[in-house]
Amino acid sequence: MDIPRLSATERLILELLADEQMFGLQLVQQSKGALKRGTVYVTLGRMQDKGYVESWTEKQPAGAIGLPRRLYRPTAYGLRVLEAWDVAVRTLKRRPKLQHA
Amino acid sequence: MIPGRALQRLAARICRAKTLERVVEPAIADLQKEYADAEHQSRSRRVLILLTGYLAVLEVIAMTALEKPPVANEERSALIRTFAWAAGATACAFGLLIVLTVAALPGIPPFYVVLMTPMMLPIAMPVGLTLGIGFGLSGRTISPRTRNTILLSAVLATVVSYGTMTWGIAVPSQTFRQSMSNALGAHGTVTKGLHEMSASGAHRARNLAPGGDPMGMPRRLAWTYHLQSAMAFATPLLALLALAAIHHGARRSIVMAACACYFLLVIGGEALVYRGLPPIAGAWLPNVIFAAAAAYLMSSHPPSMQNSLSPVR
Repeated sequence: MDIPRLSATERLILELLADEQMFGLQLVQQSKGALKRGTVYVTLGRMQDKGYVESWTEKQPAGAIGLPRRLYRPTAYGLRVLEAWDVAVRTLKRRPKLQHA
Repeated sequence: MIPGRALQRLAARICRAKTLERVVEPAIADLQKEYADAEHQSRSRRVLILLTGYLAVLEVIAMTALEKPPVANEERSALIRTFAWAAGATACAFGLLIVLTVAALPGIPPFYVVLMTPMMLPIAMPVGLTLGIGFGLSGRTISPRTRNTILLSAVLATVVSYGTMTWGIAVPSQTFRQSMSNALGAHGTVTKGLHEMSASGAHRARNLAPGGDPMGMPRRLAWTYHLQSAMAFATPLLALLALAAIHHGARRSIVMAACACYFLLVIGGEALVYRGLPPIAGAWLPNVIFAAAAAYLMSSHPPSMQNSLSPVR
């Protein structure tokens, strides 16, 4: 089984979305500069292709002008991938216990 | 004011529908909402929102426009492979032609090899591209985009070849002959030969030369003049035939044989000119035959070859 890859940016996005669903611009604001406005939408598009997040357009009130905004939330698969990578990072950070002969 | 409409129209022209809906429009929608929310804020704040928002959307459009779908990456690999083979084959053709010339002229100084380069270009280019197609695309499905890119390259090669033969061969060739003559101890200026004349020079010499028997100078000059034009079109015709042959499942050895046949037809055309065939017919004979062969192969394909081929795997 191939272990799905998760970049640092994708991991940050999943961590932010794990708490609540957000618009793209909200992710940029919540990341406190870690996410760039120009690249977050492209990254979210790739994450949708990988199945890590899903999105839908919000219902606009009658008479609203402009395009409907798109909301994002993690999929169950995306949250499992995030959890797997968290475990991997914690395991790597743990100091190994050396066993002496 | 609703910002981002022009950018949306621009993105609709550049990006795929799925990318537009899932990547670009969310960026524009967020910009529009942010600008609308800042309606009662200062003008400078709204201008800043517009600037940062527009820059972000342009960045998104640029990134998505540069993204290629997976099938296009395979096409790009096939093209890179083909052109790499073509460059290598052209270099080998160059080297072979120069080696053969040097072998016929023992003791030639290395500098003279440089003078031979323009003379070899109109022969090396069609050989190189045809072999590049044979080795790079043999056994593969050729997409319309790949075919069109290769044919466009062949047309550019035609322009280079025609320019070289019209203006680029005469001086280096004459310099080469003069240098060789001087090296052998001869004095005086060497008279320009058939291949040391530019196309216009051969045309003038043909008009000035006295008439006579079919083997005479006027006929040879006329053939040389027409051959310079005809050889310029060798590259796209050979490329077209090679592409059509590969799509028919021909192996690279067939493509190599076709390339050799073209130059045999050039030699045959010259022989026929000496036997009475009009010079223009003798010079263009290989092109006519190869164009007819390519047209036949293309017309005998399934409609997908002429319209839109299935993408490369």
